[in-house]
Amino acid sequence: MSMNKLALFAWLAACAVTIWFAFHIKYKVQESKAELGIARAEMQQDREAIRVLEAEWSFLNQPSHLADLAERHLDFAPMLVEQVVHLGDIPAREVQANQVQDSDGLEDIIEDILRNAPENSKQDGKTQPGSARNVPLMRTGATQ
Amino acid sequence: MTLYANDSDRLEPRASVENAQETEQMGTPCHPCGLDRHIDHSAYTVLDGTVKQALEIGKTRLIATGLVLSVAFFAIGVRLVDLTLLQGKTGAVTHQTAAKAPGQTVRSDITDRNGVILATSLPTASLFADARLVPDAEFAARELQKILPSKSRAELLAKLKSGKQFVWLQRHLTPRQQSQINSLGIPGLNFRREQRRFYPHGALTAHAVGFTSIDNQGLAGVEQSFDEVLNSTADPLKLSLDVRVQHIMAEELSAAMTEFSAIGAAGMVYDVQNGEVVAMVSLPSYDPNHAGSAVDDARFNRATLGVYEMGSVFKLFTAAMALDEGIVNIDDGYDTSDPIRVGRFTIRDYKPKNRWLSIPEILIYSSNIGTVHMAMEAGTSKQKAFLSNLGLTRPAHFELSEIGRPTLPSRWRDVNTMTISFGHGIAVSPLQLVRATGALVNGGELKQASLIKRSADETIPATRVISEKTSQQIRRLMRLVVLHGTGRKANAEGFMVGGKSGTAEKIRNGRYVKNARMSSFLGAFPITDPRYVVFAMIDEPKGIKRTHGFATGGWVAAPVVKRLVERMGPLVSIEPIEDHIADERIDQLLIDVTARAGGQNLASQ
Repeated sequence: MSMNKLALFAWLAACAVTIWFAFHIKYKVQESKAELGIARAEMQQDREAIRVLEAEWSFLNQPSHLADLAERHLDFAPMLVEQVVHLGDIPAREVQANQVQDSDGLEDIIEDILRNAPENSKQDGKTQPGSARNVPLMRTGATQ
Repeated sequence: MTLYANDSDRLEPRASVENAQETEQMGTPCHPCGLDRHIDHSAYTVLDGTVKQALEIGKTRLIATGLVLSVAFFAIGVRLVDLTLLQGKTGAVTHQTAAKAPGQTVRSDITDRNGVILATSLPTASLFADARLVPDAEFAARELQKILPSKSRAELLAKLKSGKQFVWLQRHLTPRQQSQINSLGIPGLNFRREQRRFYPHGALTAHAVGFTSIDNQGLAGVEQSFDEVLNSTADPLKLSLDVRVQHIMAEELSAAMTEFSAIGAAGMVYDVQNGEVVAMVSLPSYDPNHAGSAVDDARFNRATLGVYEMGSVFKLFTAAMALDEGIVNIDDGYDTSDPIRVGRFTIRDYKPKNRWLSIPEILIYSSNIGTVHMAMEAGTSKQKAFLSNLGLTRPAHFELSEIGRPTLPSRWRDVNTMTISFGHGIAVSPLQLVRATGALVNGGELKQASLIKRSADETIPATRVISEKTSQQIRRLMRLVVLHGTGRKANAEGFMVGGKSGTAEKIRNGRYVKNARMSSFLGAFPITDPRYVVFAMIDEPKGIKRTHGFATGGWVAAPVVKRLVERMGPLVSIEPIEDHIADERIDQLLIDVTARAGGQNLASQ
C-alpha cells in the first residue's frame, strides 16, 4: 500500500514539475517574443537611419561639391600627362647614392633616412597638437 | 436491422413507428454504440446476472473511449513532432524572410557603376485627417496653414470639412513640421509613415535615373523602365554610369554652353568593348527631387530622345562604307573642284580646296563634294543597307522609354543619298551615333548599348558590320582629322584622340537656318586600341571673339572633348602614351597617300 502511495506522490510531483515547467517555458517564450519585437523595431530604425546616412553621404560626395572643397582647401591640381611615368623610367637618385657610397647594407640606408627624418616628422606629427594644420582635409565644424 | 429501420424511416414514416414498436416488443434495446445489439437479454440474466452484464458494457465503452482518445493524442503527438522537429528548418527560413520583409516594401536603390547612390527611398511622415473627428475645422485649418505654408487655408478648410474618413492634407512632411503638428494636439489628424524617393545627385543624373510620382511609381528614366524590378528586388540597381565622368561631361558642356550662349547640349561617353554608357548628359537638366516644377525643355533627353541631323560626323560612315565595300582604297580620291548640282540644290565645300583630294584629305578638310562622290559610287541601296546595319535607321534598343525615332527620307532618292553622306537629311539620336561609331572603331562589331552595368562574364549581343581592316583604317583616318584637320582642338596630349567634327544647320519651318547650328565632335580614344567613344554636341552656339566668330564643331565641341578626355583619362586608368611614335606611323599613311596623289593631282588638272 505504501508503495502505491509513494507512486502516487511521485506522479503528483512529476505533474507539478511538468506544469511549472510548461508555464515557465510559456513565460520565457513571451518574454523572448517581446524582446524580439523590440530588437526588430530597433533594427528597422537602424536600417532607416543607415538609409538616411547613406543618402546624406552620397549627397555630400557630389563631384561638384568635392571639387569645390578641394579647390578651396587643397593645393591639388588636376594630374598632368607628364606626371605619369613608368617606375623603370625614374632615374636613380645620384645624390643619395653618393652619400651611402661607402656603406654596404640596407641598414645603413635606413639609418641614414632616420637620422634626417626627425625634424620633419616632429613638425607635422601629432606631438604638437597646438599647431594648426594649414590645410584642413575636410570642412568640419571644428575648423570653421 | 438498424439499416432496415432507417431505410423504412426515410421511405415511410408510419412504418418506422410500427418497427419501433416491434423492437420494443422483442425487448432488444437500441444502444447508440451498437456493439451490444445482438446480446440475448434473457440468456445473460440467467447465466451471469445483470451486474456482470453492466460491467461488460462499461468495459467495452471504456475501451472504445480510450481508443478514440489515444488516436487523438497520437495525432497531436505526431503533429508536435512534425512541427518542432521536421518543420524546424522551414521555420528558420520563414524567420529569415520575415526579418527581410520590411526591406522588401522599400523601393530599392539605384546606384552608379561604383555603388554611389543615385536614388534611394527615405522614410517620411504624411499627414492625413479623419474629417469626422476634427472638432473645430476652422481653428485646425488656421493653425495648420501656419505650419504648412504651401497649402492655402481655404483648401485645408475644405478638406477638413469634407466629412470624409480619410483625406490627405500634406504628403512627406519635414520632421520639424511633423513635431509642430503633433504638438497642436488636434484630434482627427494622423500621420502615416511613407517612403519618399530622394536623388542625392540631383540634376547630374536626372535624365538617366528619372523620377517617380508621389506614390513612388516610376514616371521617367530607369525609374520608369525598371519600375517593377525596383519594387520587387532588394538589391540595388547598378547603372553603367560613372558619376565622376558624368560630372566632368556636364561641367565641360555647361561651360561651353555659357561661353557660346548656346540653348542646350548633349554628351555621351560610350564603352566600345561592352556597350556600356558611362556618361549621358543632356543640358539643360532638372532636379528630379522637384520634377513637377521642371520645364519640358529641361526634361527632354537630348541624348536619347532628341534626333538631330549630325552633319559632317556622318562622313565617317560614308568613308567606312566605301572602304569596306571595296569601292575605294585608302589612297584613292576625287576631284573636288566642281560643286555638285542636283535639282535645285548645289553641294559645295565649306572651305573649298579646288583640287583632287585623297580619302584621308576628304575627311581632314571635311569635303562635302568628295564624300558625295564616294556615296554615289557606292549607290543608294548600299548606303541604306550599311546605315541600317549600323542601327541608324531604327530606334535604338535601350533601357529607357525616352528613345527617339530616327527621321529618314520618305523616299530614298539620289539626292537623299548625297545629303545623307555628309549627315543632312537623316536625323539620329546621339545614342545611335555613339553606338554605331563604337562599331567603326572597336574592330567592326556593333554591340548592344546598355545603361545597366554588365558583369565581366556576360556575353554581349554583337553583330559584325565592317572588317577589322576597315576599322583600323577608320581609326587612322580619325586620328589624321585630329592631327591635321578640323578636330585639332580635341587633341588631348597622350590620350590619342581620334575623331570628326560636325556642324549642321538646323531646320526651321522646312528651311535650313544659317545661324542656328548643331556643333558637335565625335571622338574615340585611345585611337590605337579604343576604349571609349566620346560625343559632345552644343545646340545653337554663337560665335565669339576668341573663335573669330566661328561656332563650328571644331571650335566649340572639340575643346570640350579634349578637356573631358584629359580629365577622365586618369580616372578610368588609361595610361598616357608617347603619341609621337604612333602618330608618325599614322602620318606616314598620309605622306604615302599624298605622294601617290601627286600624279593624280597633275592628271586631273
